[in-house]
Amino acid sequence: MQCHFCNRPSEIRFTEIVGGQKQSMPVCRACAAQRGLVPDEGPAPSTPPTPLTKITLKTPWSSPRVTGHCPRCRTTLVAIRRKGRVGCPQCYRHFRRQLRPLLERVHGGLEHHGHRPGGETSSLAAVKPSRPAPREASRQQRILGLESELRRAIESEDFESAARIRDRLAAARSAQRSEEEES
Amino acid sequence: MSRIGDMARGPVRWITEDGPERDIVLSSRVRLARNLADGRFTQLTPADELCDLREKILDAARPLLGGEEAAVWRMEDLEDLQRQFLVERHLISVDLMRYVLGRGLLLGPDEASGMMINEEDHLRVQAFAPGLDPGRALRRALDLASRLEESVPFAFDEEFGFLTACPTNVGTGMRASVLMHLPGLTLTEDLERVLNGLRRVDCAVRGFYGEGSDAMGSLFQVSHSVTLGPSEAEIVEQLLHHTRKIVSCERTARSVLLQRDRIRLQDRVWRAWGLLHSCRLLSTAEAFALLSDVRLGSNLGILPGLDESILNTLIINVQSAHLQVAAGRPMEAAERDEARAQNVREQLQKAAEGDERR
Repeated sequence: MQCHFCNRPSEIRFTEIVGGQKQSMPVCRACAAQRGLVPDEGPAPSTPPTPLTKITLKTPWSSPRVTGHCPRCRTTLVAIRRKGRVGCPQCYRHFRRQLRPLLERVHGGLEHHGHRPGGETSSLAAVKPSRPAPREASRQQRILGLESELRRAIESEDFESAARIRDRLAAARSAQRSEEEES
Repeated sequence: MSRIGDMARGPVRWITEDGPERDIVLSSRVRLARNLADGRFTQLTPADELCDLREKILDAARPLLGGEEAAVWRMEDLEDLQRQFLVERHLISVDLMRYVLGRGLLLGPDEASGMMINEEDHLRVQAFAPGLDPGRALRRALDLASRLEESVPFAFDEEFGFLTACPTNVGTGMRASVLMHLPGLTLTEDLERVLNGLRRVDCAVRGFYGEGSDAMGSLFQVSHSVTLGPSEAEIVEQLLHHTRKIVSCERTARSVLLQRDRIRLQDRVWRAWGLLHSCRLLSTAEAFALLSDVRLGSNLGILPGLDESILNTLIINVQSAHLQVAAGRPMEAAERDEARAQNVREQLQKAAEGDERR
């Protein structure tokens, strides 16, 4: 089944009852999290799910063959499935095989390629400081705004303001002209 | 209280200093989730162990954030109002406000970086940067996290990366987000279309207070969803790429509004200006909506240029707990609305004077 929103493989079936009609669609975990269909941050909600809304996770989560618990924190796969939370770091190792397909579906990628303990942070130099997006639109808007301000000042015979606005307008126009010449 | 009181009266640096695209992007933020290598994740850890863990983390992390200059808050020592203040300031999550025992916040002297302790993960290292600059926030956060891991080993797996309580955070443990002001797209009713496009490329869009909150004042937080696979730098590049696209859509929407509906737009902006200058009672929602119009008007030159840092600070300072902490006492809703109206009038006066001096 493919996710209703992004066409990636789905792992959740979101069912809700609207006006007595049952509606159901497949969604992936990422989309479900984005749309608030499942909690994706913070501890599991303390309130039980409303009876009209039910979220079910398909395999591998509900596979009946997966039994046992994490040797360190005693969390079972069923508990992880129910809460959407892992008990301790060891859980990831103990249930590696069962968690792997889930992580692949949530993230698309599988293996970690980012920073690692003791790793250099210098690779971050590759992130260039933010380049400004083209300013023309904004400059143009400012000029349009100033023009209207100028008209208003003249209409209201506030010539002192009008003179100030006229100077700002001239500066903005000349900045725009010099930018055009540069490019 | 005094530290929080000072914060309530002073500027918010990460939203007031100059940064790229600041007319549309107010700030960038990066958080990194980390857990200690031994032990269980927060929700399975008993409260007394959480308290010990908190002290251990504070001992290791405090020297990295200016030592005595850093601010330390143990959540159970704070009053409700102070915790609410920290949520409004975007420094702690709603969960940290709700589950207090053994939880904490450590904050550097400039408010630009710090960490939540014993949230869902043992550590949520966070850093801010003004404007559209997630790379700068990332460098700050990663620098702090890497120096900390020298004394506190983190749970890490060759395949899955940094291990977190929720599988959706595993890998980099990172969430990078930008706070955007999109009044143009809201007015041209193109917003839904743009935001839906974003959701298709693995970005999440939330309101001002994060998950589940309304888009008050046309303010949105945009972040990426994937944490396992791409590197931190690649994630930031992606977020920058998508954010720049929205920025250019917003600029187009603004120029369309000016050309098509100029007088209506002017009317809207000047009405907001008039209301904020003359009202005597002001709710938070109304303040956000009107400040949004004024900010748009100022950026488009409809209003005489205003000191943007004062406008941005107002967005933070009109919130309920900020008003009460600044006043030094709890206030009823009606009293808050009165204080808010007065605060806005005074600050706008200052914003306009600031511009004349320039």
